[in-house]
Amino acid sequence: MAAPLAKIPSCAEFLRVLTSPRIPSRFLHVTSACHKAQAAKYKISKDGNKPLTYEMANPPHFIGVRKSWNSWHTSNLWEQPGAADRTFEDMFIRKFLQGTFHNCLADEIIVKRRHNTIFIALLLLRKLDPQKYYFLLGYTETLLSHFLKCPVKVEVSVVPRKVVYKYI
Amino acid sequence: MAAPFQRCACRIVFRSRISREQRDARSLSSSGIAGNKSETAPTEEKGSEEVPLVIPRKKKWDKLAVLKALSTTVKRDPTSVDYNFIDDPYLIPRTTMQYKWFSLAKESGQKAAEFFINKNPQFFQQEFAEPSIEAFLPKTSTFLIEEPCEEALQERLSRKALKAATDMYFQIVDGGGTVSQDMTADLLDLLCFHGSRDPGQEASLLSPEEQEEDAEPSRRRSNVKGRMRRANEPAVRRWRDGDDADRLFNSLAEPSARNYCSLIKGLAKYEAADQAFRTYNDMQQKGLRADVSTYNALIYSVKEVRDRYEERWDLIQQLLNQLRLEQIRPDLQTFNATLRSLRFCGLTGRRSCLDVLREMVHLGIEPSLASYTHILSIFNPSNTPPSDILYQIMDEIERKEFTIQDQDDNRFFVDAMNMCLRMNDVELAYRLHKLQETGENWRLLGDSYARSVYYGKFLNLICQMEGGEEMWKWYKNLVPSVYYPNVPAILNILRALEVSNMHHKVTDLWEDIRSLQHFNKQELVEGVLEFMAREKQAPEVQQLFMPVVQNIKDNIEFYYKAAAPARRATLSWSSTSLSNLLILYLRAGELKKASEMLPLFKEHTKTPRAEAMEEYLAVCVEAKDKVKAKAGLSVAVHCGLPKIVEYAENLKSSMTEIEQSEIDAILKEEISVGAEEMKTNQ
Repeated sequence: MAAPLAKIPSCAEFLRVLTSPRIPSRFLHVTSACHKAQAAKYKISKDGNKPLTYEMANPPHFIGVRKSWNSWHTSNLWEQPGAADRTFEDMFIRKFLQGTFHNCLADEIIVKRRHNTIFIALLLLRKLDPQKYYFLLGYTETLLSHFLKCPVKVEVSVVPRKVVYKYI
Repeated sequence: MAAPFQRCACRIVFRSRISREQRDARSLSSSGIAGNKSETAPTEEKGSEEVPLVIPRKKKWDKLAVLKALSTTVKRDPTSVDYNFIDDPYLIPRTTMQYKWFSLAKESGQKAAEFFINKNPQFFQQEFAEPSIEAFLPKTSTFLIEEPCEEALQERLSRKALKAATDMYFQIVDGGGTVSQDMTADLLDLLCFHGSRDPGQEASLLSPEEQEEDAEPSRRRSNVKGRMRRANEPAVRRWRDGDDADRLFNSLAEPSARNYCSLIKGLAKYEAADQAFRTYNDMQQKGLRADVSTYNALIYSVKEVRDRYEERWDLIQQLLNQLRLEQIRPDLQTFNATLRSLRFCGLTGRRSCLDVLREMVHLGIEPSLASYTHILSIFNPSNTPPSDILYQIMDEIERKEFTIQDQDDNRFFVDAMNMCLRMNDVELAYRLHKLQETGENWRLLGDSYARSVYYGKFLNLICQMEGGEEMWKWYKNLVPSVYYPNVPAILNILRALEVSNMHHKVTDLWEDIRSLQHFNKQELVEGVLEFMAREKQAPEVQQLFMPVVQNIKDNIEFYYKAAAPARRATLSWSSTSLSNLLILYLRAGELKKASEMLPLFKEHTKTPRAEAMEEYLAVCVEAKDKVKAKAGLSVAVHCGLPKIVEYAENLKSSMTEIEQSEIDAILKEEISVGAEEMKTNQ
């Protein structure tokens, strides 16, 4: 089958490289790759002991059915401006909080905008002393307010460990 | 002799709305009228003046009127926490220390963020907010206008950059320009008010040399006053010659009256009273007139410049007369300053206080809480028996709402509660507490320290005077939402519970003790054990004690098992606690656990109480437990209790299972061991 292609020298060279044992065989795909990877859906483990929170247990098509959105604002409504800005800001807030409360977050961060205020709901783990949490909360509120130029309020509750909804 | 007179006069003075004629008539009659409350209803008297009633066509409401109306329907929730904490079990403070830590931690987080923002202003400059919000922009040290002119000075003044403003002022003046008088006066005002120092400058952000410089005068101050500065009091910087304010004032060719006034107020505020009076004399010589707040500041600092009581009072009178000569109307602050200075005038103050109050009524000035605080302390010096002035004050101010008008307003409730405690009058304390709950009066309760003192004294008084049920109701109401009791306070509560025989509450109390982190206080643990063990309770109550007892035992054992550094200065076994535990186990019918306590006596060389031992042996006899009885006797002999022979005889007669020889063996063995020890010691 390779014979007609081999008439063109460059093609032949290319094929030789492709078929050489040093190159991984999946270099060129004619059809789409099938890794069985899907966003926001979790693989079932062999022993059925992978813990999932409620948030993780419900795949994206249940948003608005069994669970709600992580960002609440009106920019995505019909003819409203600023959707991209809001998304960017929310991503910034999430990244910032994941770095500030590193290893302490028990679940997804919820960002809500009401009037000119941004409310951030956090579920924290008991990994730091309470006074350290108070320090970080004051720090976060002030710094984010200055970044986003509007009052930012953080609403927190603390759980002893991640709240497991089910094991798969 | 003086008491009825004072009582009468004060009563008259407080009834500020009564017309003068009526008052005079009243003062002639006996003091018996003063006790009759219904006779003077101020509103009725007011009505006789026939003020025409005007109904407005339209009422303009405050923006917050609805919220305020709603908030009056809500009472304090005794299960909630302070508003500046997060209502989550993990994040609620449980001790006074934690209360302080958490609020400071949040504040310090904000400070850290601000520090970062001000250090790196380039990341925070974007202005996409419309309109631009200045509070969310970094505070830069650069100014828009650089060249020396009045606008530049105005800019620095509006940003309260006092150092830069002073520099700019001198630049303008040195360059031959002029600054308008108003602006100069504004600058001097700010400099005097802030003590020639940029406001908001944090001590911790200063360089070490500056910190040392700042710490030195405050130390001197604490020596002068003979007491250390409390941590939450701001350090007061003293006035120094050559400061910016001083420099600016001296550079003025012809200082105006306003300049003089600001300088005098600044001097009085920063503890340079001598200099303030000197400046005042200069001012008088130049024929300038001071304003009322300057006189207030001078009266306030009278005690710094005169040492003898009469001299102080004379000086105050001179100043007040001067006010009258210059026809300046005194205000509330004048009277509060006068009363405050009278506090430091001993008996003279006591005599003159009433005259001051009479004058206050004459001018129709309603006293604020600070005035009452001062009156209270003038009439109740700490070393004399308390007078009944507080009753009259309470009659006057009950059901009134106050707003803060004076810097000493927030000391009233603490001082008054202290008086209630000194007089042991719980009814008065309830009235005071009710006043505190009226309207927005709780705002005048002071800082967290003052609040804890107030509630501590209140609860202490209730513990002493009230029955257990009532006390427990108040305890549940106050702890832990507004008050974190310390060890003596809990011991008081235990005493009150014991008096009214409410031993079953100890389980709840122990839970609170644990959450207040007091479970490792030796004194308190022994107090709780003593409380439970003193008298025999009903069997079900004895069973209720068991979790507490077990918890205490585990705690103490934990400290013995812990490594050496952790063990220091915490719980340890004592003879009383061991005996009490033994008794408690016996009364709950836990003979096995009680017998496990016995080796501990030997191990820690403690002596059991005789009653505890007797009870133990009696229970053993009842249970016919030969082995445990022998163990008990052995401990008794080992510790050398006085009635060993009696115990042995009892055992012999009541327990047939034990043979004579066994008991003799125990006695002999232990006694010989004791003798050997004696020998080695010798």
